[in-house]
Amino acid sequence: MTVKFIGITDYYEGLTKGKIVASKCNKCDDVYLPPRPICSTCQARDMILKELRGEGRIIGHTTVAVPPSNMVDKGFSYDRRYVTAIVALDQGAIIAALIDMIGSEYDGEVIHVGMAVRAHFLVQPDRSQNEPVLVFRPM
Amino acid sequence: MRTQKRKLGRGVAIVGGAMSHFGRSSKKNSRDLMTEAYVEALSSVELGMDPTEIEALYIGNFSSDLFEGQSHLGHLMADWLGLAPKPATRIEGACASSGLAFRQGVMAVASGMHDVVLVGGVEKMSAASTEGTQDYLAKASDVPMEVDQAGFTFPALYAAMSSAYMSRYGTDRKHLMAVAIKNHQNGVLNPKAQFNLSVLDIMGGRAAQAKRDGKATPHWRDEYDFLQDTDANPLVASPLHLFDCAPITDGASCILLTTEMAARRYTEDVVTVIASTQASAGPMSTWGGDITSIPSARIAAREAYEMARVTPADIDVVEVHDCFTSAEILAIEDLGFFEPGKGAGASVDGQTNRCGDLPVNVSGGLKAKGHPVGATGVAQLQEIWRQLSGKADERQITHKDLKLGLAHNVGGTGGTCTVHILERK
Repeated sequence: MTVKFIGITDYYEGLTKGKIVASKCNKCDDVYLPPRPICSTCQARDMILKELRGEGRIIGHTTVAVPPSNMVDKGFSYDRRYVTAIVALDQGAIIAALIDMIGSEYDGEVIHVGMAVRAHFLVQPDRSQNEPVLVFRPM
Repeated sequence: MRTQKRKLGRGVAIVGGAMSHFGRSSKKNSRDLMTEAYVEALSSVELGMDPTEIEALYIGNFSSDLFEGQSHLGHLMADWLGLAPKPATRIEGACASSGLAFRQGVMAVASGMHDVVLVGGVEKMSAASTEGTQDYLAKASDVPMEVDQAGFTFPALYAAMSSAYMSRYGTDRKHLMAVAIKNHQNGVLNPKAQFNLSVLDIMGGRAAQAKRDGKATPHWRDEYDFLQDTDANPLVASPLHLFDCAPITDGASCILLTTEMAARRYTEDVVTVIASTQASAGPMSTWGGDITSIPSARIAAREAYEMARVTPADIDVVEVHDCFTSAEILAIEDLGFFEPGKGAGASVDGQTNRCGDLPVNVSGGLKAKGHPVGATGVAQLQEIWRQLSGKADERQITHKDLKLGLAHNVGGTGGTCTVHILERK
């Protein structure tokens, strides 16, 4: 019998349903994204999947002027910049994700450390990948 | 809890070292660069070394696979340097690759397995496009989560850390600029640096170029004014601009290690390795919410001071991993030289200048010396060895007696960190 470990596949499966799926340690309660099989805090292997609400705060951010090729492919450039961030979710996990400003009044200048944000799931218009992309928007 | 005592089975000494010229060289591949560093390292051994005495090679390299389309670099270097069939191992830890290679060499000698070892590092980066280089460097992050999902580049990851630091401590871009100005000033005295030009020199060059091109001559008041100008210093990832980032560099570095017992056969100026430590960390998302400091650097530093039985105040000269100006500020705090939040002012106040209380990156650092990623760790260590043994020529520190030096080498955003402390006997 093969043993199934919790892993990044569970995270992507969650995204297809519009959910943020993390792992929670049954021993120390620490929560990690993406979900992992062994707790990094206490080394316990008693992990369960836990859906997170998707509300949190920005702990670090940047406006990217020289994008990597995957973002160039999405139309970003020195003249069309985007904001990305490290977000600490209220329920414990921390994750790197884009700050979605499209269709909003926000620009990179207003983003700041401590800003409250909420998760959104963006379906890729070109269907370049199966699951939607997790982004955050200022609340 | 780790309670075992870290110590070397037998003393290890550096008896020679060198770096190739750092810069962009379209005609040189990684074998050419390594040859340049190796031949000079051999001739730097004062009393001479017969190459047949070298028993093993440890070569740091991040990604010749991506940059040059060549894997399996260890044996190629052994062959090219005429050292086959001696065992040769390539070591990879992103930008800390040769900090790791040095550490492997130290452990090989300390354990008694080998008596004379060559450690080095090499990276040939300039053959790739700028966009390709940025993508390849980003492979050292957590690719699915940080790059694919969040669009981070390497500068962007350090920029996010910098935003957290600036927000917490109320510092600004001037503190970052001061690091670039200091390291470029140091690079002026290093003939092998990619930029042996001060920011003022570069500014003057740009103004002269504009005049030659018949364009309006820019009038910058000083270096800070020049660095504020986004035409001269464009944004990369806020708050980091071009002059906050280490350049794309081709280069190699090499050090010859032997036992402390045998060192006097090779040199009168013996420099030994009194601490060699290494720590790992997951991506920033695993740091518990504080991204104003690099956990692996703090741990490697603390263990290094314990191993060497010294304190930060005992260290006379330092090379830190300033892949970005903001990284130098974090480094001098993580290494215990400055309290959290106080490192930002160090360059502004001159404390870390070459004539300051604690000279940091007298080689020019990664910023001005250049950053061929796999070669950086050993390049830093050969600079410390030169300073401690009085072989640093024009940039030799003379305003204080040098006894202890430290080198700090970081891979990724601190996924890997090595700290080494060297002592002049």
